[in-house]
Amino acid sequence: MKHYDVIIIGGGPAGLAAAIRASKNASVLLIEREARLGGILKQCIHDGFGVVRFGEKLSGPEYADRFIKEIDKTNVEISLLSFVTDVTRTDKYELTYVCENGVRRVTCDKLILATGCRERTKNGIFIQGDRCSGVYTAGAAQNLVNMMGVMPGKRVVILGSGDIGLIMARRLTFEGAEVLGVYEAKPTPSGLTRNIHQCLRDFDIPLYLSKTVTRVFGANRLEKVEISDVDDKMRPIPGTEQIIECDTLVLAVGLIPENELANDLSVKLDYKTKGAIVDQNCQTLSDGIYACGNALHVNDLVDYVSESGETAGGNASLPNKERKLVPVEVKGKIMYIVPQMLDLNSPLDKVITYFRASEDLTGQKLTVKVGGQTVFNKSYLKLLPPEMERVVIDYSKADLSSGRIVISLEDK
Amino acid sequence: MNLQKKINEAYKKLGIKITALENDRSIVLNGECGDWQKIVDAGKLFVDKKSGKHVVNDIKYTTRQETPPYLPALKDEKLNGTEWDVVIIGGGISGCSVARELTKFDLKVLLCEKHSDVAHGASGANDGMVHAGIDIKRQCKKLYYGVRGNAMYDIVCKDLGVEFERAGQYVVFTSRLIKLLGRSYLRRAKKHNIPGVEIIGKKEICRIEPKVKDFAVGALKIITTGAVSPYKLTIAYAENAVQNGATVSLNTAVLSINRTDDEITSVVTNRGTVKAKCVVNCAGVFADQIAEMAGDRYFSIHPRKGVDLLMDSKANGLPSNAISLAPTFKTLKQNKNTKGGGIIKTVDGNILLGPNAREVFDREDTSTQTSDINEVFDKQSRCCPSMQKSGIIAYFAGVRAPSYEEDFIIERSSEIKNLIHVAGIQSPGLTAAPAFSVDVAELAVEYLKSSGCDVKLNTDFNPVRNAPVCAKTLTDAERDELIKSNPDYGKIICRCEEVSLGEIKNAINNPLGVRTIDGVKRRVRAGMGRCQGGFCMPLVVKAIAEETGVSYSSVDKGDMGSYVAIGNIKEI
Repeated sequence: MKHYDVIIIGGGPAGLAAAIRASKNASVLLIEREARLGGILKQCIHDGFGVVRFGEKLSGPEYADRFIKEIDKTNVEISLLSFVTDVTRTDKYELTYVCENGVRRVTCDKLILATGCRERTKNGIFIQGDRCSGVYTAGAAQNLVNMMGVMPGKRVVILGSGDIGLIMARRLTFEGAEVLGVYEAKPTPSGLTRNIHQCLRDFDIPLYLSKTVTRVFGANRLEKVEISDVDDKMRPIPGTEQIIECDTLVLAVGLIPENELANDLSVKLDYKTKGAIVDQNCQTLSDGIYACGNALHVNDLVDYVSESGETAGGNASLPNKERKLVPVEVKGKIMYIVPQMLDLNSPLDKVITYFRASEDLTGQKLTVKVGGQTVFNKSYLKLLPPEMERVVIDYSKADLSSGRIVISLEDK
Repeated sequence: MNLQKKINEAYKKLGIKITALENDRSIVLNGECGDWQKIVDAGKLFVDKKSGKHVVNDIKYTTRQETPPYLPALKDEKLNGTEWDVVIIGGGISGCSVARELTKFDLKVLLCEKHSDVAHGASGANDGMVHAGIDIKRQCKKLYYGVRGNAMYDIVCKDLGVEFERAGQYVVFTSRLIKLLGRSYLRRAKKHNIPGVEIIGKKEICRIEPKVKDFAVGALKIITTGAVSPYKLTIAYAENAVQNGATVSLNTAVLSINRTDDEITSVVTNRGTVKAKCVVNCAGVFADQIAEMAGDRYFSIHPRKGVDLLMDSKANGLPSNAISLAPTFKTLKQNKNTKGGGIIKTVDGNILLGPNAREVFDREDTSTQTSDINEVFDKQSRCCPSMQKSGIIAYFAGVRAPSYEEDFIIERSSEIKNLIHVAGIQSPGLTAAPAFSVDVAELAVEYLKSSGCDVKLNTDFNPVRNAPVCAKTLTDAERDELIKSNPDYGKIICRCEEVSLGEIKNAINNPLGVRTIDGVKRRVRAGMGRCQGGFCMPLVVKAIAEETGVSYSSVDKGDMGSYVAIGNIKEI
């Protein structure tokens, strides 16, 4: 069995960044289930990727290509069309995967999970009605249009104002479909503000808030959908039903980190992010297992996916060190933070912390306190749940062994 | 039966004015009503167990017209002028099992199914439980064939290469009184020759299934209850029939039936008119309409919808056994037409909840409603309160085809000599099919012989259908060897269910000629997992297009017209 210092599962943006960084100090194997590297970026042919990292607007494939060119210069071993079927923990990690050549077994000291995320489905949000064709997740619709070059339909309703939904509204309009509207159950849009403008407003596509699809109709192909208003708990209000004739329903109703392997390995997850609980090095509570990118938490910018990949790759390539973990507590209207833990035996001067507000807020102050002493604060005019925030916190001057670490969000 | 008394009763209880006529075989009801449930209730009032006469319920539903039945948008002459010994109408578990049993004889057998695959109706949308028969109180065809069918499952599934698990079932008692009454099950089991039924104590049931420890006082343990994939078994029966010489014609709907006084001469389909020496009506919810086409409608089918919920195998709080709560006096009164459903463990290891039972007007309406989901979940979670609704990954509805007498109708028509009805097949129809299909085949053979045909045994009959390759269940060494023989088995297409391109190609090239996304899904589970096809659906479309040499836009999800792409971009 061949041994590697680090094995990375997933060759999307997180895995690529992790592999490149880790290869500076370690032997690395990158396992990717598809035939090409790049993950979901392969089908994201719109622009807007890399603004933070490269200062330019790239398409998804272009963004991925920069990393693929980079990885070609390293000694990372890449196994494509390879699917991990089993991971067992011994004194190291033993992986079994299948590929075109057969069943392979390899071992490693450190394992990085860069498995990305998946989309919520029609059943996941309890849409009722007939079992016709014409209902797609946004990712599947994107694959059909951008990878296979076919049109799913002509009259389109989009449910969910997440970024892929908005992108697909524009994409299908470009290709001549009529997008009848984007419906969002929440009272506020789920996607980035820039996408609301660039994908909907610029094309006069209406956005309807506090409405959802409750039923689909169609003997073979979708013929119409039923839309209902929802109350403040997002439950449909009887009597508000409205029928819209359409042949296509695209669902962009949320992404969920893929954590099959993490579950199999009993890695402790955060119920809020649905990804692993990690320290500032992206190491999970299971020693030697790292999580990064959208498998860790769903990001809205790929730049941050790459960043967490690098964090994980960099640390995984270093020799093992005993960790001293303390939790980071959260107060106020914060949906989640990552990392959820700090390792006091690792550098603490530049702890990259991501968070999302739990609701639309104005005039907020983020404060980080250790044992009552403020170590960081930042003011925000406006915070929106769809827009992830990133701060770099310096904990190195605080006495972390004595007091609780609390990150809070308060009205200014 | 005193018809006038019943007519008065119907008026008093339901407020419907009914006329009723009695003939040799049936009691025929007429009238009008705007409430479908009341129409069904009226039909039930006239069931006469003593005479064994069937209810034909022609009370008109005034609220709306019946939705026209699904017919494939296809018309050709593929079958026109062909001649068959036996024509089977309907490709559910009944039709497919009868077809396979008939191929044991040297006969020309045609099965017509109007959908694009077999098991499209109730046979594809039920919980897959192979019942022990303990719920059936009195001697009837359901019991007779149910108990015999159950005993045949091991051998049938082994022959047909279908997974079958006899993991048993536990009916949990929630009070001492119910447990005491549970003894009646033991007497019944003895009387009906149902083996392996016993009552176990609180300690044992809580050890077997700790999820019930807060309320169980004991349980009825039934070891012969099993689980099978209902559509996989139906498909396997059909494939084995084809292997042994039968013809399965899909997208083929029976439009009318030609006959002389007492004999069917030919069957008219959208693919031509075929001559038939003998016809077997296995048309499920349409069995009474097919009978009508032959001028032989002496029973009515009233469609009953049931919804099942499928739980994510990785959801929290699930039980590990098939369990249900023993009926109490209250629940027995509430719903007489379902055994109350239960929590079932499928052969694929998922937990399935259901079904409920709702009388519906439409025979083909398999849509689901939020109220169904809530009803089933709320009911079944009483038996396992730790289950969470968020664990549901899929739900589906099936429409069962009961007669008013709530028993199977398996007989040769007394009026049309070459017509055999296999009607009113509802739970435990799946369990019973291996047994009744043998008898139905025999009925057909007896008739053919009596009409002067020389029916020989099919000496080439091979009962074995090889199970499709399932790479993930192999050992690493076996799987390695398989991939070396064909690298497609190493390319995983469906990540949730770990299905390879090789397995998907096998499914596309199935003996029935089904080339749809749902066809692949049901044969090898691609698209059945957590992402419900979000990732693999486009890849399956690609595989079907490439294997069969058609464009992506010609690939259907299921029936004709259920396309997933309307054409190439820039071209439409």
